[in-house]
Amino acid sequence: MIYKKDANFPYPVLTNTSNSYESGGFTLNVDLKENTDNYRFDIEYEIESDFLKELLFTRKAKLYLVVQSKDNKFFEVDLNTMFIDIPKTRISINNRTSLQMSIQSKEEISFAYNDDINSFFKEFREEIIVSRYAILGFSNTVIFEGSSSRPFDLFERKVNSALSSAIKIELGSETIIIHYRDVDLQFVGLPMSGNFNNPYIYMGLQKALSRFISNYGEDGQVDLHDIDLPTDQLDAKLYRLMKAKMVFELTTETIDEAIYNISDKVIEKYALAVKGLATSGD
Amino acid sequence: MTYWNFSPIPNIEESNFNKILERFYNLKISGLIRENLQNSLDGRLLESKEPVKVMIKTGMIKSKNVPGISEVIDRIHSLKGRNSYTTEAINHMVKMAEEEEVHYISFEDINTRGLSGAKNGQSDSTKDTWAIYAYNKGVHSEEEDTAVETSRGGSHGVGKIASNAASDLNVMYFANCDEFGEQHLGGTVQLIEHEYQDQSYRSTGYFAKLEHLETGRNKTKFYPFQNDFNEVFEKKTRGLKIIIPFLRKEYSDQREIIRSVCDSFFISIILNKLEVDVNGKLINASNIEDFVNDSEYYTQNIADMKAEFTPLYVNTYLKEEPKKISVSDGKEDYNFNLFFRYDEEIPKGRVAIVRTIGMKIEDKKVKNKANQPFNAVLIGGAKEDAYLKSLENESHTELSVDHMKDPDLQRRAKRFINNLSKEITIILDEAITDQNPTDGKMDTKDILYVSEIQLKKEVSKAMGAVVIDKKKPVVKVQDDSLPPNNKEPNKGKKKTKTPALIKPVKRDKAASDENDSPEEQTLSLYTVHPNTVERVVVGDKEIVRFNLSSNKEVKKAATCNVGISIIDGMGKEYKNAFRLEDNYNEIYDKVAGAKCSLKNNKINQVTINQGIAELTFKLKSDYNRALKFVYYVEV
Amino acid sequence: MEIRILEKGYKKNPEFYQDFLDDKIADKEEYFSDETVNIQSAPEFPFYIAKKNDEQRKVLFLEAFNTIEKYYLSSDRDLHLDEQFWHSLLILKKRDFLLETYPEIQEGIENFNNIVVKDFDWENYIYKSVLAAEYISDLVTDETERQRYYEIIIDNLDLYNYMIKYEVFRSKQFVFNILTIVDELGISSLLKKKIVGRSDLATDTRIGRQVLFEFNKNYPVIMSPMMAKEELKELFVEYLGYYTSVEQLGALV
Repeated sequence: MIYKKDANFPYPVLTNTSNSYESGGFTLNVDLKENTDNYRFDIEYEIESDFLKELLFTRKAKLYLVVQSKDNKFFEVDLNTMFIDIPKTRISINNRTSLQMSIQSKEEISFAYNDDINSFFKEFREEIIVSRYAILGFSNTVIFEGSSSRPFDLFERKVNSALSSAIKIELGSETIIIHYRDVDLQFVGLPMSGNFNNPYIYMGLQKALSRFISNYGEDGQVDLHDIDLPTDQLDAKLYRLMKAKMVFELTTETIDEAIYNISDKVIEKYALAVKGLATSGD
Repeated sequence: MTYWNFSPIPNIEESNFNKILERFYNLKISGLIRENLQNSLDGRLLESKEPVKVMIKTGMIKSKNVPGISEVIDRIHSLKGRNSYTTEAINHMVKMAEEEEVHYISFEDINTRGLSGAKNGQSDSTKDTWAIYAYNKGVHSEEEDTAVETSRGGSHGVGKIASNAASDLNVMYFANCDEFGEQHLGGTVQLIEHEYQDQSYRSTGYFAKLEHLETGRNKTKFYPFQNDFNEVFEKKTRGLKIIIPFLRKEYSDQREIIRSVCDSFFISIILNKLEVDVNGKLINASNIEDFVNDSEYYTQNIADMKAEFTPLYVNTYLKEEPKKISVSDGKEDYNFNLFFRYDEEIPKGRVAIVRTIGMKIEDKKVKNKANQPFNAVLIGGAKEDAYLKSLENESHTELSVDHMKDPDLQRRAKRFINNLSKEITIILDEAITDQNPTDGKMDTKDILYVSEIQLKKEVSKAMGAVVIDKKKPVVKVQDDSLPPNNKEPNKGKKKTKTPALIKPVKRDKAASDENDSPEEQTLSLYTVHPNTVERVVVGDKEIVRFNLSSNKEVKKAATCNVGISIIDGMGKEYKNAFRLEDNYNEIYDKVAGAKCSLKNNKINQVTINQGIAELTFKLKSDYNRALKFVYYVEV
Repeated sequence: MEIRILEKGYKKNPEFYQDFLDDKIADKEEYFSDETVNIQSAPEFPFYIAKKNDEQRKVLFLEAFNTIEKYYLSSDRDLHLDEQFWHSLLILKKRDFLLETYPEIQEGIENFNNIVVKDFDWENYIYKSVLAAEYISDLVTDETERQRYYEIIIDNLDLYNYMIKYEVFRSKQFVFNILTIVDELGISSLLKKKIVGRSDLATDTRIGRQVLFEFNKNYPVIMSPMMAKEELKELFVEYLGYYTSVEQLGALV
């Protein structure tokens, strides 16, 4: 499976987040295509360590592509592999598909001549011996998110006259759904009617972020650095949106601030719309 | 020694100052900034990918250190005003000439070509750009490459005079360092035609050596001075430096300088074609947003953005996807990218017309739509650039038809400007209908309103791109774990914050907590990010070195207790599952030079010296060498 | 056969349950998404296998494995590993079969939730069966050998469940290799034993699960899912030795 968590390994491992290697990282880029029978993953990667590249070249280490969707698939790739085809009967992409590359030792490896590692490891490199089948490096993870029929929508509106309250905010699997009992509650026909609905948006975000905290938080707070992209698709959208807007810490107390940062001034626009209505004397 | 030369004329015909001076004088700082930065962009090193860098400095200089200035002052004293306006101007010059210490501003460019052929002096070769710049006012040298030529900012050849206009004495200097490291200083002064020592002279003076040619007794030629003047006038790296002494007082306003840079060149800066340093404040692609979003420079309340639109433009350009529009002048079609934002909060609708080099020409009003809530940025390609250039007025601040002489071209230009308004109106109307659905026209239940659409756009940017577009589309999620240089450069550059490397954690969530003694309960527990710990297993020992200096509380402690958690193959942490006494024969504190004791499955009282702690573990024979850990410290 | 796919929101919905009992689902447009699926044939098999003795259980599992192998595995995985597809199929095409085979569905919504609209994860019998059929039929071509492997899974269900529960193990080659090793060593019943006297271990104290947990802890320093069977076997025996005596096994390795 794909391994991402930062931890202290017993020897230097090349990754994009650890500083064991000074020479650089291990970057992977993947593009996804399809034809009738197969999904094709086009791969492009860069291993920024001459030591590890030499091990691969001399076949003392192997390179694997890990494809994780419903289950894990491993493909041994060589330096010339440009793509991997997987039949549609054996991989589903309508949920999340993650890909990573890793380097595995094929025999015992001495790090005595590894010039790419940091100064701490260099102090000990004469003695560093890494055994067979051990991971020597892993890349970033490329994620394909499927199944969402509304991949970017955060909100949906529905009108349901049978509703037992005037409005209802539901956290759906991919979106926040605002149910109205009556179309009139959407202020249709008024100028700038869109912005009159902003309080509902605010409430929707509030509800969704509260759940986000209870899903991923400890003691009512979440550090977004510490959690992976959530599998729940609504939460995944909120997660990406918060990160893009540099909201990294979410707590019960900072929900309003987070909403302010991720939404574009919904309350100010609402206030402006109300003022506009008042001054137009309608 | 004569520093300043004026051409002798038989008699005085024109008694006014050059009219262009006054036009630039009215444009104030922004006119000065535009002309000089644009000249620097035009002079970019064609083979370099680095942005052009312009260092703007303001300061004071002793007037006696201004090269040859006494000659200029002598001439000023000989000027005679023949109308009230000129008289007033001359009196002002005379008064200002008395100052012993004066303001100056300089513009020094880097990653630019500089002028060439200075040592040839006044020359007829088109390659000797020094001669054209220094001695032929009003004509700029044409680039050999036509693509470069059309992208040039200047088109009327009056740029230099903007610098004269900024000086109380209408004087400016230019220091040049060419590709061979040759350094020269030139300059011009704009006076009026005058009589001096019984001879009439033209209004323009040149800072140059006059040499008589041997072939004809009356033939003379200008040569520049080698630059060994005061340090304000120095230019030691390739490029050009403009120095304006006797700077008019209102031109030293640093805030206004920074605003002018952002107002006119935000696109050049975002595209990383230009960096500007104003008295040590650097404005570049990664921080321009900080300037335009700073209330010290711009009002941040959208409802108040009625005269200045730069924060809106920057936002529109960075956040919107461009729409393609085509505008015809009746004969030719011109294609532009329009970055368009509709936002009901915006009080005045304006379109920034921008040249490919990145300089904004105009805050264009669209006919009848000047008060509509939108904001837009319009940029074309090379052909569009050339056409826009022909439409600009001399100060490059407006598209107009007035300066066009050919009636046919003028007619086409009018049509173009009208059609441009029309195209933008169409897009604006679409946006209005999209976002303000009227009752009865649509099924209201599925409508998304402005704010939802805005959010959708943001989510789409944050999530990534659709790679398989079918009923259930597949999105490739953006990867922000990679270092930024692997992503698209500059446009909308994100800042990645690194998380705190040593973070406090609550006791009950952390390692070995079941039987904490009361004294342990009073200690604070921190999780230590793996990047601040080094660990290696060699032979029968394991070395672990902590660098705890990033956390003040931990750093100032003399000792800490250390706990270890195992991380499994799924990244899950197992607190307290790793028993120290089952795995290690001995633990040695390197800083203290002593053995450590264990307490509650933690290593007790490890010495911290200036944030550093180091442990050496002696491994038991059945120690599992494949485990990976995270560490906790307790202080 | 055309199957309309249900709109999400049907799970744990009493109204939906009642409409299922009353056979009114098909009449109510609001239950459906606008998606339909075409499948050539979708024969029934034991969708739910519990509370049976070993012998009955084996028969039912084998029927499920074989039916899925024959009729479902050639469809896209987007279908045969998709919860909404299976739930839609059961609700709309298999109602009579379900009511007859699992009459307890009528006793209450809990049973309905647990048998029909059960979450599609490692606890779901269809999910277990699809992965078993995929893994074994992809790797074993010989018909008798394949049936034998299906039986190995059923005989080591605890271990199989543990492997498909955790994503670190959930891969075709690893599952297959572990099953092969267990079969070669003949330690099926040993692995099911509980470990006693180890207070430091968590709740999963069966020997087999603990051995797998060692693989988990050491991943990816030891990249076991990529290892060949013989290499894996050495490690397996080593880890087994942490929890039980392996001296007699030594001869077998």
